[in-house]
Amino acid sequence: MTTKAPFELEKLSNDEYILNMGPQHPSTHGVLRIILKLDGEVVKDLYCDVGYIHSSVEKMCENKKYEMIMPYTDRLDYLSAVNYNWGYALAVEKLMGITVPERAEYIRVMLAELNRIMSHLLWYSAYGMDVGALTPIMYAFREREEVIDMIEGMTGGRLTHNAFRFGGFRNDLPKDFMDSLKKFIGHFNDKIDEYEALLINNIILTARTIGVGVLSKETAINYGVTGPSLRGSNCAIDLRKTAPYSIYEKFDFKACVGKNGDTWDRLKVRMDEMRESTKILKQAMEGIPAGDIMAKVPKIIKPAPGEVYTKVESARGEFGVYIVSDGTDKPYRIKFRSPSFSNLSVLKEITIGSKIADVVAIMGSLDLVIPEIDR
Amino acid sequence: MNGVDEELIKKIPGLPIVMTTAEWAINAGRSNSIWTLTFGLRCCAMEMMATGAPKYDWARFGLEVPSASPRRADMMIVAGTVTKKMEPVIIRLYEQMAEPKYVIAMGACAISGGPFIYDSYSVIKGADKIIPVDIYIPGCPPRPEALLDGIIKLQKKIMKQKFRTVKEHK
Amino acid sequence: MIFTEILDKLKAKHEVLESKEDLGVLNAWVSAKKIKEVIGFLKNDMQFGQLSFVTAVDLMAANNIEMVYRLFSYETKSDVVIKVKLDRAKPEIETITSIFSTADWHERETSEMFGVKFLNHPDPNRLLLPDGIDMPLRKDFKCADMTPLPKV
Repeated sequence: MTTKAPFELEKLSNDEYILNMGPQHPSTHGVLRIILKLDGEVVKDLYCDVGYIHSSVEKMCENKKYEMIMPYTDRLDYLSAVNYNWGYALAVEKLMGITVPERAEYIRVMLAELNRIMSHLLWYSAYGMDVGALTPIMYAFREREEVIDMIEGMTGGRLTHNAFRFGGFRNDLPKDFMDSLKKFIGHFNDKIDEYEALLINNIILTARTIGVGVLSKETAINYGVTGPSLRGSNCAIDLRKTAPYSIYEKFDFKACVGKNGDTWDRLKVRMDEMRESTKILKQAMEGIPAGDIMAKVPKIIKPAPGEVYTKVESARGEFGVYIVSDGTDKPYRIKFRSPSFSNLSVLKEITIGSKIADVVAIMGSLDLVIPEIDR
Repeated sequence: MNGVDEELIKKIPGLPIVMTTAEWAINAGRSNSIWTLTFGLRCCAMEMMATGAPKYDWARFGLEVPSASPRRADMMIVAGTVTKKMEPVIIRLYEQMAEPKYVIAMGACAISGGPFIYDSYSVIKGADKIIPVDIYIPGCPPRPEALLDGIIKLQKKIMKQKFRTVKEHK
Repeated sequence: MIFTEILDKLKAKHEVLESKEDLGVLNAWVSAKKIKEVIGFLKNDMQFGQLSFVTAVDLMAANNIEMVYRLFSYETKSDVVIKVKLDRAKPEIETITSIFSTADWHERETSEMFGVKFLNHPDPNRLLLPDGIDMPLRKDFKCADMTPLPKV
């Protein structure tokens, strides 16, 4: 196995040429390299070169105790770190048969939904910049900082929280959390309307995105696409609904879907999802019971031999953790199934035939985070 | 002059001429209009974005032009983990930048490898192993305030440089 | 679908070498030659529409590389795990890219991490690793730059 050039120059016809994009490119959200074969402005072929931030997390985890792995899940996807903590905590809890107290579950749900909003807000501002609108970031970061302040009060970290513990949660909610959450929920829906008026329903953006990069339902499932990118293709698969974990069954919310699977639908799904998250937050805020936040967990985490796979719905799709335990305090093998990995692999399928300026618009709509692809 | 009492101005001795050293003037120009290379590697890139966003607003310190091309950039913020596959790319970007150029290593990964220092086969233990670094900002990831502090420190450093000793990397 | 039901249907059509239940999920071992037919059968006849991931586990003590294919059905909401034991010295298996397109990248990753050779793969190149690092997820992998975690 060796690295080789994806396109052979001799085989190009007279009209075709190769364009390199990245790894340092402002719209690749990290370092992703895409090699395009173009005919004039039309994309003929595309090749993704990933691995520029491959930091060998899976190998490192094999040499670390179970408790020590939690911070690394934060750093896989720093935008929805809580959901990644959750996926890992869920796996170890399932392996050891730990039941989490109800209050802790509520806190987890609240934190995860705040985190989802935070992630979608960053995607919204970054997408605006991708397609050439510099205004959205000014608006979205206003609310994002508000959410970050709330989460920071709760966990102590702005991006990488590491607040989950096996069997519960590290600390209880701070005193002023409920007030600031109430205030946030009170005005956030209006802000989403504002965002939609600014960017999503903007006539220039709709002209650039409707009918561009159409992803059919069958192709999406065949490529393992999950999350908002899949739901944009009119496929109501949301792990919080289809394979409920934790206490998501208790909440009334819907899986947002798009109609045609084009780029605009994927944008719209994310905007709707923020509204649904607000709904969940409201219900969780009203229903949170008093009680413990930690279950009784042995001091040394040493699961019995066996293997487990758990998955959670992160802001980008299905995040899964596969652990093979050999009965020691370190995992024998750990594999992170990251949503962006599969979501990026479909890019070639939906981009071929479109114009070069659309590549960035389509790629942005998949909401990629590169470190979770590379791990 | 608009709205200023001209008579008063005439009383100030030698006003139309400002006396300073060329060094100071050039350094002040350089330090207050640093163009950054937009180049994010990991979590720190998000804090870099937050620093550019309204709440922290690095434009107050003259950084409002993020340049996507290294040819126009004065400063590179290495915001994240440097890996073996990324190493040649970073070196090339650094070499493409015009002199004088400055590098900020942001976050634990860029300083020493950070959380990926042990048992990792693909992480380079610090950006200073491959390119010269001026300012180190600790944190995982550092807060936007820390990045602003680092930028102000870099500005102070630029103000102190002498013509003869401006470093040139060949 | 509970695991016995899946196992019975699978056994009726294909040879299952070994099987066990692990936390309510069926793990079935099949032979390397049959992998394409088994995965195709699960997808087309048993509605396992999503391939969650493909990976491998290095069982150094048993001198095996174990391939793990995990499938999920959106219709019946059940999982199934198909495993294949390969010889550690010369691991070779047929690709399933023609059945699930997502297997393409997963197989490329497994290939560079464990040295498994996927026969008839459309793009047998490295995915994540630069040249010079080979099979890092094998248990006996050694690298001069690796600093071991200090004991405290």
